[in-house]
Amino acid sequence: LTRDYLTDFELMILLAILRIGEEAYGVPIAREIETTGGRSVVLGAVYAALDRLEKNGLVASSIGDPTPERGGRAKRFFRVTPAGVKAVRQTRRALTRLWTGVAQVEGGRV
Amino acid sequence: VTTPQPPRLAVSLLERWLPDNEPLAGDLLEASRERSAAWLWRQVLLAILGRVLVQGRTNPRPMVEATLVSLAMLALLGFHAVVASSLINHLLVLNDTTWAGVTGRYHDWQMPATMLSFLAAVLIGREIGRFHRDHRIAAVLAFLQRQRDGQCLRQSLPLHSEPASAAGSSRRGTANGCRHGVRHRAVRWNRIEEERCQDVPGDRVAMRTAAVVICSTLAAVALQTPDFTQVAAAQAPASTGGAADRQETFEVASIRRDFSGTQLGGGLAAPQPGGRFIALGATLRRLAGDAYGDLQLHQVTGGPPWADSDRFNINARAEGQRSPAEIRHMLRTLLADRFKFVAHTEMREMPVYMLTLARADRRLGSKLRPSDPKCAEEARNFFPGALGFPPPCGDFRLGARALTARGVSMDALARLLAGRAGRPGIDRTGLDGVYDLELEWSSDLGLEQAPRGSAGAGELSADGLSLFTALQEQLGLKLEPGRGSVGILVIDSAEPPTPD
Repeated sequence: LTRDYLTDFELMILLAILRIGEEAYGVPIAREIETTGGRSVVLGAVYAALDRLEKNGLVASSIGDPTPERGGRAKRFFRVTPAGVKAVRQTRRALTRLWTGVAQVEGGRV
Repeated sequence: VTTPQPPRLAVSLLERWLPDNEPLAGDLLEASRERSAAWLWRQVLLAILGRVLVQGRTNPRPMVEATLVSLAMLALLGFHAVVASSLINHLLVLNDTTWAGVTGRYHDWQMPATMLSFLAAVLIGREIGRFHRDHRIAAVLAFLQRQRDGQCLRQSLPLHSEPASAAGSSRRGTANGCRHGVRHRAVRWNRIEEERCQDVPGDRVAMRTAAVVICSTLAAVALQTPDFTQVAAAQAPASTGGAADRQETFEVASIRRDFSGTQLGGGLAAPQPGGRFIALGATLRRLAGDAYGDLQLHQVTGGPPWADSDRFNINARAEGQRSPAEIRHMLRTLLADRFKFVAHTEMREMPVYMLTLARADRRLGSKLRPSDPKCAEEARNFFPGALGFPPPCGDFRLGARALTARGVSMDALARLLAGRAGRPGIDRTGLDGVYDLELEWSSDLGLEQAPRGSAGAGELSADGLSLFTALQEQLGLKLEPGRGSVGILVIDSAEPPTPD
């Protein structure tokens, strides 16, 4: 099931991947959301969302080499596909339109 | 807080429940190096929960199937626990014919048997789950079909399987060529594709475990296993015509009606030194109770109306020195010969008093001490009825407000105290061996007068220290009312004794 707009968590994940770049796998993605996004995340939820995004063609993944600090387990690197970038832009535009003219959230006052 | 070594159990759970998500497992392990163990546990458990929820949403059928199978297995294993405990009880009765009718030990085996059954269930479930991860019920049925036809099923991948899970399934259980399984919606047999192929060892293991479970259940049902205790008891302690009984007889025995008018309970009856058995004004119920393991009167039921009214004096003697147990065996034979006595034992749920430890730290009271080895040895060959104070090892001296005992077991103490209230006593102290004790109380409040429900436990009577309070304070024991399984001797038939 594809949606026109992303959920807030999906949006944060896509933005985190875009910010990290080529080294985007589970741990840095979660760390980026925690430090920049200011919310704690569950890695299992991150992977569930990433699976969903991949199924919808918004991200693509590739398996890296196993490393000792991970108990010999491989990393799964993610990158945002053009469709994913488009979805981020669409969501941003939609949110911007929604924000526009809302007095309560303009000017930094709540 | 750092965790250089992540908790093994958490890692194991991760590998068990998320075997196809290696990157997630690696991420968790990598991140856990900078986090606490609690963080890792939370992440692992939430990841597993998320997986279960996603699977349940996308493919609910296996989840419903697994839930139903689990409930069915639970019911089945509960039944098997009863089977196992009954069989253990049966074997013990064959080995020792005296205790089964006396105590409720049958129930003591239920917890270990339950644990063993669950262990067996885990192993069986592991085997089934190992080879039939995706379609457990359907796969077992398919194996049954294959066994009948001498064929095996060719695996057809689930319609809705993701490529990763299909690959995982293949890697786990069917790497040797003969794949098995059915399509997700293909419980109908005409959808199962079959072809001849080589046997898979794992298939046979699963097949055999399923066969063992089914056959053992059917066998247990056929044998009416819950009645094993009764069957065993009927065969063993109350077999009045057994070969051993016929060989063990008194050399001389005199049975005469007692017309003295004594109304002392069931009368007096006890083995004596020198291979003798003496009964004075004893009813048939008293004699039967003595013959089958020193049972109390309320543990002997049934019988003719005169079993409680007609009284007898018995003077019997065997050749040489005999132990109390041997003399009781001879008394059974005597009852069978002269009273045409037939009885059987069975376990019954009834109100009882349970003797337990009063303190959580299992500390005994100051007036309860383990007997010395010499006294314990003497108690094994103790003959009741000896006079004098202090009592001989193995005996009690029970007064109106005092109890003294030497070399007595907690089982005997429980039966003595509870017997005053007309209930059987069950020892739940877990104390082995024999003990010396002195107990004093200042109230006349007896067990038979204790408030129902509370049994007077821990209460002071109006005029002093109750027996219950004294038990707790002086012996560190507690007598509690409850319900328990008790061995009962049921008199099937008896006739007035033949003349000497």
